[in-house]
Amino acid sequence: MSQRTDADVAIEARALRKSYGSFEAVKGVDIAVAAGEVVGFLGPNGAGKTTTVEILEGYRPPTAGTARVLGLDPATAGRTLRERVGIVLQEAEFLPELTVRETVEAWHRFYPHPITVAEAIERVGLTGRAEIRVKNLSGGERRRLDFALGTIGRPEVLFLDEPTTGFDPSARRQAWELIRELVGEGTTVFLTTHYIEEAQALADRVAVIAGGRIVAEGSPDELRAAEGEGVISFRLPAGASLGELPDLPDAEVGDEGGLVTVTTKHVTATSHAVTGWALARGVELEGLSVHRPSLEDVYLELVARPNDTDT
Amino acid sequence: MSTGTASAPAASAPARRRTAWPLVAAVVRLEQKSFWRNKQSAIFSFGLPLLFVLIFPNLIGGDSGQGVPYKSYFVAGMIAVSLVSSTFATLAISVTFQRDLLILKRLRGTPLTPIMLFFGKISSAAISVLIQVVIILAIGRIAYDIPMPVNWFTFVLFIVLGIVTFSLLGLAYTGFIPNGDSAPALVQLPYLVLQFISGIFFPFEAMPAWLQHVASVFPLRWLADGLRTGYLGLDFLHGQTVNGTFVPKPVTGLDALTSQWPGLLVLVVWGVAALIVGLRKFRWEKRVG
Repeated sequence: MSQRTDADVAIEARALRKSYGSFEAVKGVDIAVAAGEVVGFLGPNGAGKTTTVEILEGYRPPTAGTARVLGLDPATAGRTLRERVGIVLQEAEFLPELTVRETVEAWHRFYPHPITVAEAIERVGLTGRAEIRVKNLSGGERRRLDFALGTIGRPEVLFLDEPTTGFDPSARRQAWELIRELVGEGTTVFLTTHYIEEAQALADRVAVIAGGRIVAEGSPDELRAAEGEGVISFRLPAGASLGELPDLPDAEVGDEGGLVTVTTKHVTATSHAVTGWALARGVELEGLSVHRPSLEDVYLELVARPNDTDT
Repeated sequence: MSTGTASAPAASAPARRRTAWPLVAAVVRLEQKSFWRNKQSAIFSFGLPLLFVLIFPNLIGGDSGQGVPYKSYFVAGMIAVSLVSSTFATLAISVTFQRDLLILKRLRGTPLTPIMLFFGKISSAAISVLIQVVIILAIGRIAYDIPMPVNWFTFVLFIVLGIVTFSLLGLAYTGFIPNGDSAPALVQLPYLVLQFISGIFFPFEAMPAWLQHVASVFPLRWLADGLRTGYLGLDFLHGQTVNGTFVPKPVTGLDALTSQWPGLLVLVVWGVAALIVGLRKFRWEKRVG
């Protein structure tokens, strides 16, 4: 990867901390998101995820550390930055008595270079519902309106907070298509999500926060490779015993009634050693399988780890 | 595409600052539409004071001071109540509602600055007040034969100062309202009590002295007196009680305005206090937990 210059960094957090009274919600978070990149931000509830995002969105100042979005401090940059950033909030409501079109029209007036009202409504699939009062929209339709408002100003950076919660599978695919479309136009996306599948589908890189710290970061594949342990399993050939297996460094060998399981981070090397051993002995390894962890396995493993290493 | 060195690409040209007015206007439109379409606010905040203006002068006759029919006294006072209803009460309730539903948070994530947002909200409240004032003046003229304000300058000045002060009070008051459910009740409390002791329904001068002193701490009494002076040309602050009858002092021209200086001062002090407290206490989001 080539050296990034500052101009290419759309979002940056350095040693970000946030305390509420004696409780420290964010304990030194570092994040860098390149321009045009999609980063998935994962973490369980109470991990400091919302606090971190809200600092980057400019809703609250950090207790310590620095946050920069498009080179500006989100807590103080105000209108200059807000004109270039879109925020799709998870649970914010709308003025209930206004129609979809009236709501979008207002947001259209807020931004200096917006797409048209019709276009904003069209691309979230609400054209047929434009004259409906917002209070009469379904949950999924409200999320689409969220999208329309968050993206009408042609944001350079888009914060998505659980953007497809409450969507049915086809609506979710549509939302993903829209996000991809925006990314295709060069928008940087900071995607907070509970859905591992969503992060995997959209994100170039994933950052996992737990206990107020980033516990893992990388592309979904890198994370699976770096953090996940694969399992190689096979039936022990007749006449062979576990003790005859070659030395398998960094691997844990188990025997479940003749089914051998080898758990290791070094799946390739270990499977090579195992199959090499079988070839040398001229035996067939029945039931041989190599299972790589899914991103979800890795994620669950990461957030379950005790990671509070303050002391 | 390039036509020469003189034309720079639009993107790299220094962005010309847009003025704040289109954004403020967008807020005013949002607020006005919300206000009129919400039956509760349209009927209660806007309609009720007008209904009182139509009913009360027909129930109660007599004079509120020498040469001052109750209907004139009451209608002038109801202009003050309408103003408080459309500013203080409406803003406190709607902003708490918008705060709890994270609508304020959503708006804060847009290029709207807090000043544009609040200026828009106060402007929207001012529009409602102006419509109410016009209707009340019309009812007064047609139904009760009350002439148009005799001292427009004093009248308008108190309307404007009243809108600013009571709007700021409404916004600051939201900081003390825990949630949207409790907003209507917590707003009605000061609003109703002050109506009864500030010389709206009952002549101020007929109240016991201690109650007059209590009422004088709060701004509604002064707003009512100021509007009465502008509307009727009678200064109730410097009246006298002669043989058990209160006699207000007729005032004209600049004297009308200067006679009301204590009221102007009280309104300004309350407005500044509301601004200071509001800046400290205002919350953009519902309280968590």
